[in-house]
Amino acid sequence: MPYNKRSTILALLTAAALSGCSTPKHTDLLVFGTNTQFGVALTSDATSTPGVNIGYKRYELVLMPLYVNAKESRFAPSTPTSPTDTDKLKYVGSEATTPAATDTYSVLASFGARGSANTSGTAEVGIAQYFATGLAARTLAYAGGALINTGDKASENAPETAKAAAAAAGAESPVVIALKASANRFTAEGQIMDEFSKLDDIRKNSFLAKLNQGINRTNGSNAVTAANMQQQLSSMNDAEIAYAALLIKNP
Amino acid sequence: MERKHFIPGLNFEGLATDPNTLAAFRTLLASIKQAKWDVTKAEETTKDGLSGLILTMNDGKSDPS
Repeated sequence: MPYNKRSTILALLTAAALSGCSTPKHTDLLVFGTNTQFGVALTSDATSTPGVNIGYKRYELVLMPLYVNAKESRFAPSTPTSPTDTDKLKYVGSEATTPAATDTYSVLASFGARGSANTSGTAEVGIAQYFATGLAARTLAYAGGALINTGDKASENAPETAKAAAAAAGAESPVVIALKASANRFTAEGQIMDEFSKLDDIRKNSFLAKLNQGINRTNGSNAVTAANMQQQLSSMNDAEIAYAALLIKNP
Repeated sequence: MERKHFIPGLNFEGLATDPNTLAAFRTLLASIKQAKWDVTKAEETTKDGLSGLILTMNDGKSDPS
């Protein structure tokens, strides 16, 4: 197909597609979009140092109306006679200061991230991102700018202050508590497995017999054996794990 | 054998933004390793109405059942 013919068809298709789009509700829009990708990678060495890989993606799109859509708004004058009438259709943020402050619609959005990880050096990632308009932008410019570090380390003042206050009070977040509880559980399982592997056969059998008796797993299908012990430990409740941890000390 | 472990409230953003959470998560990974499991996958999910991170791990052995 000749090139100019293809171009014509493409142009017609594009025109058709555009004409098929509906008219947006607001034609006076501020459009702001970002795409953030965050990554932290921890590597593991041969001695089984654990690794962490964190991937984080974020897409933001702000469609902020600046004016009430005049054609559909009940506030719109039927016959605007002056620029003042049009100004009444603006979205405005106001603050009860002296003198009263007004500006465009007030929006503040922020994203902060920090990563520090490695086993052989230092790998640090920091992202701080702010989007602000109107009075929020003014406040950020007057007071917040000095508190925001957008260098190689990310920082958001408010969350950091909250975290610092929580740390000072000795408080731990629920997720940290959950992580520590999980770590304790896996540590107990690992210690039981390690201790079990050090026992001779007579003591292994003694441990298994006592354990199955104590946690009522004498049924052949659910009994703990040397072959299935790791899987059985993972299915035990915390009380059963505690019993096994005590028993392995004196099988 | 495969095993899954759910940590309510944990997500990637929390790991990326809170050093305390990341430190606790690293401790958990070390404990999992000590228990002879290898984490093969981590994904955000919802379980019983709670959002969190679910870890899939494997011990490299076949299922005894």
